[in-house]
Amino acid sequence: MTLPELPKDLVEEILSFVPATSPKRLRSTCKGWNRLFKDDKRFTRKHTEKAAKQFQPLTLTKNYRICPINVNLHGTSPSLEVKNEVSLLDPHSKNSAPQFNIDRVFHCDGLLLCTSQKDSRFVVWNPLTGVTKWIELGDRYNEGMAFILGYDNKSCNKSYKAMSFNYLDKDSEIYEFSSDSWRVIDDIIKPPHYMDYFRECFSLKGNTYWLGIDRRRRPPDLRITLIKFDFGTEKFGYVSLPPPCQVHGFEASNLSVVGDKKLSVLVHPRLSFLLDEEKKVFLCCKSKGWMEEEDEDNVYIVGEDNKFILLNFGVETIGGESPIIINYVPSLVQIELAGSKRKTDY
Amino acid sequence: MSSNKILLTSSDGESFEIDEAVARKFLIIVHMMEDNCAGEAIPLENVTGDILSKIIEYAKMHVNEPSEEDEDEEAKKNLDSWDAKFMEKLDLETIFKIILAANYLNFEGLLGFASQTVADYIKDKTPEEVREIFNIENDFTPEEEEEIRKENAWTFNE
Repeated sequence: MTLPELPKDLVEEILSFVPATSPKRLRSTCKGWNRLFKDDKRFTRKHTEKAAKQFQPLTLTKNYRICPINVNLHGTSPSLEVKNEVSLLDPHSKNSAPQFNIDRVFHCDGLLLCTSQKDSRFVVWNPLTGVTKWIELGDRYNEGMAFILGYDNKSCNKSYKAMSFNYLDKDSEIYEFSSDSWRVIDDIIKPPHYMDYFRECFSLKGNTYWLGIDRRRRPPDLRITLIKFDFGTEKFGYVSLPPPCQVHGFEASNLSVVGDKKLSVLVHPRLSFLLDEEKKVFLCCKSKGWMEEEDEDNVYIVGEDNKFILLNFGVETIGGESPIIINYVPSLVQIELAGSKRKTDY
Repeated sequence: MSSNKILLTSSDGESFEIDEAVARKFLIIVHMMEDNCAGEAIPLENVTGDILSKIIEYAKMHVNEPSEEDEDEEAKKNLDSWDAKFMEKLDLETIFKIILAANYLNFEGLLGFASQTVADYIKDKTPEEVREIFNIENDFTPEEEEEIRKENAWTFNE
């Protein structure tokens, strides 16, 4: 059977449907395909649109590593498997094959922004392609910093930006990858809400969302508010959620993204969850201490048949905090960098 | 909606009479119809009869394409199931020919579906198998190939 030869644009059409995790092997077919998957921005855009989205939950372990979680609903006893860590090598370390110790991670569209304790750098990492971009903070660094990652979803160029927050109430700064430059946002009006900038935030279509409580109100008038930072306008916005989202006290609540179209709010202390639209699985993870009789981290899996299955999560977390589940969607996305040539760092 | 019939002729002389609504799924024909005198057959030089008949079969099923917001889950499921069976019966050579023809006819729906089918087929194949399918020459040196293998070794393992 000799197959008819397809012109380049039709081959590309086919390749744009290949799920994001498959290109690893396809890249070694020939140089042209390798370039396509690695460097071709136009193709990446097409691929992001066409290829079926896969959901790959990740978790951050107490060993400061990112590990994929596989949920298996088939067979008689569904299971949860925490797989081997995905390697992120630290290029500045003096050891051979040294891993970067990740203590915080923020996910935006297939990219992970990771920081490490007492380390004055952050890294934006695509775990699927392995491409990393390291940013040295130098004098900007202080120990209480956290970052979010986003882009202006109204512009046709996905121009990525990172924004810093810190406990010391210093001004937030925005870093633009395309120009390798920092800007202080001094006229930013922070919302009048009590919120934790450092946890429980999510990215959706380039913008970041948190839950907060309006400081200006008092019980029983407290409302949970959805706070958004728009990377396009570089402003905060917020909307109070309607009742019954009332609380009398406030503890860290949880927010998660459902697929990449909708935002789902689950308000409960120390509970993190994610929803896999494709496999129709709802993963609900609560940490120990929530109920006195439990001293383990457990995961509830709800499949399509609406049955609850309780599994032991089996992963210890940093500082014994609630497990962090990242609703990661593998993607070929690359960040456009300042300058013409892009180097791959390891 | 008038049920005008359109006559199509394949490159090897086969004739097909189809409803105008079906013919309009092929954007190339929409343009040709505007230039064409009523009643004359439209020649499709780049598509053979066997492939054209398959494409028409698919187009007929998809004439009333349900929109994204359509609530009829049942109908969608049935259509998906029909689509799957349609592709299952075809060998890779035919699917490639369909891709070429759908591209020529500018039939977006089938082009996407057929491309997705091939993508699913190759996603787990080895580089050698993929090269054979697409008639690609391996232009890597053994050292370069080793480097790529190393690069991929420490990202997600399936």
